[in-house]
Amino acid sequence: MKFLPLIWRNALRNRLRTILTLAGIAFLLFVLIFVMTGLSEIQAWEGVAATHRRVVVQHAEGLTAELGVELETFLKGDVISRHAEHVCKFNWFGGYYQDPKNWPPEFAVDPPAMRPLFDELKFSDDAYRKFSETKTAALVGIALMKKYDWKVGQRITLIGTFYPCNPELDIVGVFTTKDPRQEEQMFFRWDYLDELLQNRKIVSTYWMKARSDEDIPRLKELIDAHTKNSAYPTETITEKEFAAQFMSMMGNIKAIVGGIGALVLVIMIMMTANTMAMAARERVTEIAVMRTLGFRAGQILAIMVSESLLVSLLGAAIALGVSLLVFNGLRLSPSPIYFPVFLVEPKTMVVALGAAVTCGLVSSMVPAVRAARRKITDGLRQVV
Amino acid sequence: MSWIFANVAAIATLVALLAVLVGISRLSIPLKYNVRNLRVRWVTSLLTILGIVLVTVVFVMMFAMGLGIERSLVGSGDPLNMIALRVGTTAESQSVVTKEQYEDLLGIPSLQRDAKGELLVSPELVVGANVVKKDGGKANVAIRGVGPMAASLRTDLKLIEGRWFKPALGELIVGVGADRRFQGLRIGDRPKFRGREWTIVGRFESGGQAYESELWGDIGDIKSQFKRDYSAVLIRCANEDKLQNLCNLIRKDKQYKLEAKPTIDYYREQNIGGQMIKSFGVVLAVVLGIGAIFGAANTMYAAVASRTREIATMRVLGFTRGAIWFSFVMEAAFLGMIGGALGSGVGYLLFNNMATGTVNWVSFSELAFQFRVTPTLMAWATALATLMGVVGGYFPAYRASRMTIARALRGL
Repeated sequence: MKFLPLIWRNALRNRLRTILTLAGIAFLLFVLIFVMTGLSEIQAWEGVAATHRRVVVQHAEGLTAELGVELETFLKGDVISRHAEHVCKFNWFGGYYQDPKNWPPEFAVDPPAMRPLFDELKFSDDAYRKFSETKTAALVGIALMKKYDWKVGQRITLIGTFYPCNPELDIVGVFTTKDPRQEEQMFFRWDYLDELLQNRKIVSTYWMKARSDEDIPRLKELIDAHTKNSAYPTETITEKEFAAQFMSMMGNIKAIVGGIGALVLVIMIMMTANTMAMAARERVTEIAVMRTLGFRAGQILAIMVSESLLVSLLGAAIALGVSLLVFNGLRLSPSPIYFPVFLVEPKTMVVALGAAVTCGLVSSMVPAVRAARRKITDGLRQVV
Repeated sequence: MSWIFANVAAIATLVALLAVLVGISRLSIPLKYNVRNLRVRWVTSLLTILGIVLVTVVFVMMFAMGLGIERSLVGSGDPLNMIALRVGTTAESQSVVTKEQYEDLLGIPSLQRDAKGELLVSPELVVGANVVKKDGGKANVAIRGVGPMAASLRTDLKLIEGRWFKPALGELIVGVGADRRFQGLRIGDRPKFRGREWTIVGRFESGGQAYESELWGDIGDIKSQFKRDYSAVLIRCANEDKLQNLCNLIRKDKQYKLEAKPTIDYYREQNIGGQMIKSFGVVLAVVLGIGAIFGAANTMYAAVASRTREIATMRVLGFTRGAIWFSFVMEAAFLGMIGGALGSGVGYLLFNNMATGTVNWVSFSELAFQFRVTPTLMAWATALATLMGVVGGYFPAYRASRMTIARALRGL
């Protein structure tokens, strides 16, 4: 620690070089944070989904196939209600508001089951009463309200792309919740959707809440066995598995992000190693003098490694600071349609710091070890 | 957005080339001097070049992926085919065309006929079902029900194994892309969709188009099993003018209640994934490129600093400031160009024709595609890398050209 001023002076000795290296590291780490945040945003639902004990029933052949309305009677019957409660029809609507670019997540649900099923959403009793009474009612997340400057009581029209209808909805209430992503969602009533679709009774999924974790495997077994030979064979999965299937659809994104991350780290290390090699080359004589004064080889090594560590960590601080400010502070998103929010997760910050530390250590290793090992006499004799 | 960057790169390369020509005629520090210098400081040069190589590889990878998706989707459109869909939909799988609407379309006068006198009109139904992928996990495979005219409307379609399906027997043929991505879709397999066992009897290819990611079967079989109306009607026209007129006719006449557009436009609109990946690739390349520029600048500053006396000597010998500046910029450009060329080559070896798949964001079904590292892409990547070198070398070269001769000669 007492060498910190020396390390700092060393780093500042060739200011231009240090600034260039620092800027390079900051840019590269920003890329790392950017791609990792993209991945964590895609996976975010999976993370929160695991905490709610919600179970989803979908058609065994996937989301493009529909379920029958008959199944509801069974799901609400005695056999299932021992293991689960709050059965709710749940259709993703996929319509846009005014412009195809405004494409918030909209879901059609059953009012009675909706509140206890999504108990993480907070809204007033009054809003819930209106949602239960008014067929055209909609409950909207607070972030979505702000985004389109909607007011409670306003009537809005969604344009259907997936379903051939355009629901006109009355906003009756606003909900808040811990996860900012959920505050970009909105809910309206399944029976209203069904009315617009001429009572074709299209149910895309059923959602319910398992009474305990042990009930989940039992539910899967019971429901899927019941529907096995019916017109609508089902696949009963947890909300986490439901979310995971979207990841699986996209293909091998994890490998691509991992690959880019590894490449970024390698580029960073090479760049910093280059800087450190130049620094070491300049200081050969000086290091020899320090050794004569009594500095041990280990100390020389530590001082040099600390210098590159310092520069790397400063770069990481800049990259993290900028990305936290831009993404978490100003709430900017690279693609508002696909990423309503783009939040840097603590996990990402840890990885970025880890990358900076790795870069600092690895890049200075070779030049530092060579500098520490060089014989004092050789060092003193060398003309730079 | 990408083409802007491409143009910037092109202009920069041109300027660099011009500069080389001017340089060779007017100035006289031989290029060999720079090449030798890179060789003398080989560790530093190598580290810088490797950094640029890796940036280029990332760029080539992202663009090859975007180009692959683009070829698969955009290439599926045929300039002579028109598609009619439900108003408001963007994908066949979400569209509904009733039997009455289809018959109305057949009533349009002077539609194109084939040699046997059959109308070149194909009503089709696209549905989906989850199938297990070869690398685990499930994805939605598109199943297309077609009539006898479907193949006449796709000039690239070719059966490569087995035979065409027969109606009413629940037979399917599989596209080579779907066969590559999914388990249990080989000839002779009997997958189960919507409570019925189907038999795969043939395998087809279609010039890398999106159809290769699909299963095809008889429209009657698929309509009855999936309980759906038609999803779209394809109509072939004699030429592009007639196609445009037909689109206008269907769109404007309220009787049809259908959206009509050239298949070229229809598939181009589905290329969201390809565009997203390409613009993501541009952003990555720019930010990583700036990182690499700092690296190159660092190397060049060091090169200038260690050659202070040498530079002063050259000035004394009569080389102009411009000549010195140009020489150092060229040295940095070499660094970039070598890195870019190597990176493009590595990208080509690693990724060209690599087969993979992703979701088509409009239809939510699996789209099999192959990475495409084209010569044009490689040329752009090299040009961009050269630009990185030039930008990185600009200021160090400026510093070199501004040195005071006397002080530089005296300096250590």
